[in-house]
Amino acid sequence: MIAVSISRKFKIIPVPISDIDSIKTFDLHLPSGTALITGIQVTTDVAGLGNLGRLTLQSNDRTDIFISLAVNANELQPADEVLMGIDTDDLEMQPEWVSGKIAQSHEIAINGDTTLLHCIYRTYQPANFMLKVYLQYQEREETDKEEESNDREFYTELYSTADQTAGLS
Amino acid sequence: MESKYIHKAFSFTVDTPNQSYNKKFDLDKNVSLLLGLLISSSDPKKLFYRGSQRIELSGDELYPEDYESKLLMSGISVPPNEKYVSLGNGVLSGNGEVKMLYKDTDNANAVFEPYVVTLVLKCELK
Repeated sequence: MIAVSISRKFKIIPVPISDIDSIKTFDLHLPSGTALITGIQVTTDVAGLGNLGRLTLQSNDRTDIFISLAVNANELQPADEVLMGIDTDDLEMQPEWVSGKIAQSHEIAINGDTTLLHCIYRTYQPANFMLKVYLQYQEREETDKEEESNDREFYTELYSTADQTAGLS
Repeated sequence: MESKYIHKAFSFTVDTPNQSYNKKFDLDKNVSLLLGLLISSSDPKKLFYRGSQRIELSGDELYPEDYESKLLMSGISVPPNEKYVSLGNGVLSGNGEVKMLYKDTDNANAVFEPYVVTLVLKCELK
């Protein structure tokens, strides 16, 4: 069966990072109806600086870290081999609109209290830039509806089988 | 029955910096599902650094306002069949009305010059 519905929603959270931040802690707020976070993506607005730092997230119930992501500038710098004139097919020396290596969404599934996420950004390379965190999530009502729908399908099938067994259909 | 696919491309020109462009496109009546999409440009660097958009299909929001264009772009090094951003099992086309609110924003890495933005939709026919 092709299930066609739009249950995903996005929250885009801009976080300014300063070159004096060695470690920056902040919280990300999601709507109270959030039932499940399903994806995360990070982008920056600077170019050519390579690896800027690392972003680590933890849910509000202070349980384990659920994801830790590298934060990279756009247009990765050429590898040392390229700068030294060595012929290489390394695509990372190309900008993203040529290589297609666009920041990817990391699939995650976190239940529990996801209305507030605790974050730590650790600087590897000081820079002023805007970090954007994209969170893809599902709202509680939609998740419940989906479960309810699945339950309904299950019981419909169960009763149908029972009816057939009893010779009623 | 074997499914049939079509690729629909809609373009517009961004001729003024720091402006929003509200565009509306209509899918053919025989389109049943939207399976994937991608955004490209006559000047990919400008789209990459300056572009963001909201996209909705038949009143349902697919991507919210300020969703950066670069996250929906691909590259010439990517095989053609892998270029599209997948929408999972597909989204019902409904009335087939695609609305796009494109926003051009200044960025130090890409100085403004007019450029063309193209939205390509991979659709399944009824």
